[in-house]
Amino acid sequence: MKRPEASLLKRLRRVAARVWLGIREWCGDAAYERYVKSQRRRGCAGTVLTREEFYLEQLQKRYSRVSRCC
Amino acid sequence: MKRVGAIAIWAVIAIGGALALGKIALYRGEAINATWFVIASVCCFLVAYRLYSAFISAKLLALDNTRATPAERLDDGRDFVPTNKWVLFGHHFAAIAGPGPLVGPTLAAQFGYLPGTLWLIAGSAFAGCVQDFIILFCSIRRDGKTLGEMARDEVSKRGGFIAQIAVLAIMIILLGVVALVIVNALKSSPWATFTLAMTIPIALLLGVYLRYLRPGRVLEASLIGVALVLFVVVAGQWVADSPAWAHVFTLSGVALAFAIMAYGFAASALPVWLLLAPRDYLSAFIKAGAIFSLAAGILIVRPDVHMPALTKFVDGTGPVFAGKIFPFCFITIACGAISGFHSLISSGTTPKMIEREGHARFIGYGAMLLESFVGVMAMVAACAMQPGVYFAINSPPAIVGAAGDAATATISSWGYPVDTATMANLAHAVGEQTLFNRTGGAPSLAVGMAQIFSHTIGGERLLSIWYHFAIMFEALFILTVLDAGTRVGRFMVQELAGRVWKPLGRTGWMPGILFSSALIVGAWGYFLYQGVIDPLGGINSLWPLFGIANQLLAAVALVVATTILMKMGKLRWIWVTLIPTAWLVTITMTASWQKIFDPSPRMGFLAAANAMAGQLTAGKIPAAKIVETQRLIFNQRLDAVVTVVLAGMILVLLVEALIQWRAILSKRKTAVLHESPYVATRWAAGGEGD
Repeated sequence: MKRPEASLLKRLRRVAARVWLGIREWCGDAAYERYVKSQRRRGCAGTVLTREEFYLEQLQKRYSRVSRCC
Repeated sequence: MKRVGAIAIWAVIAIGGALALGKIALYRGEAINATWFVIASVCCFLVAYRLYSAFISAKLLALDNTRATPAERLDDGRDFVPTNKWVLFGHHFAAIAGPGPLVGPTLAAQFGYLPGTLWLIAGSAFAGCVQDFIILFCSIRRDGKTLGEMARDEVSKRGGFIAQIAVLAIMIILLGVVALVIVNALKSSPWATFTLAMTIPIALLLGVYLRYLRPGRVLEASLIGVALVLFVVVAGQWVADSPAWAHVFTLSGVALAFAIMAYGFAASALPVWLLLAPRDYLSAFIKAGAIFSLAAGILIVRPDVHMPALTKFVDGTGPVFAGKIFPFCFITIACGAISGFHSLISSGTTPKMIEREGHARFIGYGAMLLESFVGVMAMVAACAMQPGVYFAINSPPAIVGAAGDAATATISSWGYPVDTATMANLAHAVGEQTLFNRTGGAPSLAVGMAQIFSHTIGGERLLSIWYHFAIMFEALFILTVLDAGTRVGRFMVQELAGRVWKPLGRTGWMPGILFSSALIVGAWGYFLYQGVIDPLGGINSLWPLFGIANQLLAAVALVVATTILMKMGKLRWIWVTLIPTAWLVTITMTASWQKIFDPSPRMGFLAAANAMAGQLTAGKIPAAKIVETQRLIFNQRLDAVVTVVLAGMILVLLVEALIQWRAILSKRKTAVLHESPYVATRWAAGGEGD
């Protein structure tokens, strides 16, 4: 039988991992990984941009439209 | 049983909100605790979200989780990316949260705490959140089209063009005004100026790090940047204490204005990875941290609010800005209750990333409620200080006098006692030379925030660090709007100029970049400069102009939303957008009229120009001041013309919309919606809010 503390610890770790991923996604840290995954899923693995190319392209797009408010 | 339990909980929340609201509305004692503001706003927002947004989702918009969103249909991993609703909420909130909800309520506190607080709560629930939510929904149904494109498709071609020009004009005024807030906060403050100046080399360092050393590792770079920024906040004290360095960083308003214009130009013309983007990353973390800390600080300290519920300045004679409670309380609060600019975000990135239609309620309506809560906290921070201190910080020298004794005597005679020693001690405690005549809202908000923070951590000893942390946070917040706005403005100018001469429209052509950047910086820089040299402090004339512009854009968004709802056949519920539209048109037109034609020189642009022109003709102006006075006269007339143009554009758009509405209602014209066709989602449909 599993000890309740062990399962609680597991749950806490899972929650912490989700929060961490959420913060990475919020600030754009995980954007490249997500992009690569999406390209592979759609079968475009051959045309994947490098991390640097992707970063620069994202910035160009983001700051060409209203991205911040008063 | 479960249902009964839920009803009981919601009944408790609703009753709690009503009681707290009643308490802050009817209380007339010495001081009221800030906890009542938190309970009233949180409970009202929860009830509004649970009931009103659910009603809009179900009856008006009929959000459909079986319908694939643009993020799902057009998923390209770049622009269109299905995103977790909590992450997207964070993105959307970071984009809409700006300095407006902090500065607006701080300035509106001159009417007392009550009018502003009530409008923050009611305005967001019934207008601001509704606008953000419905525009987001409309854009989702149109593959993420912008407000301008929707105005063109759904109202008329002319309507779309007007919306495009209105956005550019409003952006120029907005940038000029927020830059003025920074200048007023940094003027004669070497500590604050050093701290903010240092954020630029820090940003350049991060830019190089993110481009060449560790491309795209935003989190680690931001953490390094935040640590460096916190270090320079502390280091600013050494600069302020060193006579030689303090001299270098003690700048006049005009010098700061030109420095900020140079910064705006650089951020617009330089590659985006070098300066703009890394500074934005820095700002996002500090923004989130400071807002969270302010909320936590208010809950921990539970300060007393000393400002009365209503001050005598509801009659329009207030020193912070001229104008009666109607319409200027609403114009001044602006973004905290409803912001036209949010409609640009709701029809920008967010609709391209939403996973399910049902999430629009949480993201569109919910994020604006949170923004409004930030506004309530700013109101609490401003009202927690003694009213006499608040007025001494926020009143321009032309109203209360430049010398400390004169100012304290004037303010005390209004019934808000304050003395020179208190002000001197406070200035010393926050590490500033003086706190008199520090208009613009930022210094008084920083004092309020610092008092709350220092009661939580550090006590009196850390008051100066907290004050400069708050100033840095506000200034960083504003720089983010300023540089990103200048760059977007540059693209708008290039798009328009490209119609006249094609090469100017090429976004990669250096002469075109330099020309359009200079044009946009010159435009907002002019408003900034006129604010800096204005004897009334600039905020008196420019913040209302900004408020009018912002609320007019909100009216544009609501007119577009109303037209779309009418075409959807939702006539029965059309009041949801029609009433806020009518309200916004009423307040903006009244405010525009008063700002142009009011006979009082403090209030009316033309009256101020005529009064100065009269003095000039009568030979009452000294020879040395003649050129300056002529410039001030020109500026007042320019402000009047700008207000006429803004109001005129909205009236034309309104007429365009009324023609459309009449044609739709009389069935003379078939209502054609420009929605993308229905495509079923690949994912199993879940609950509406999932």
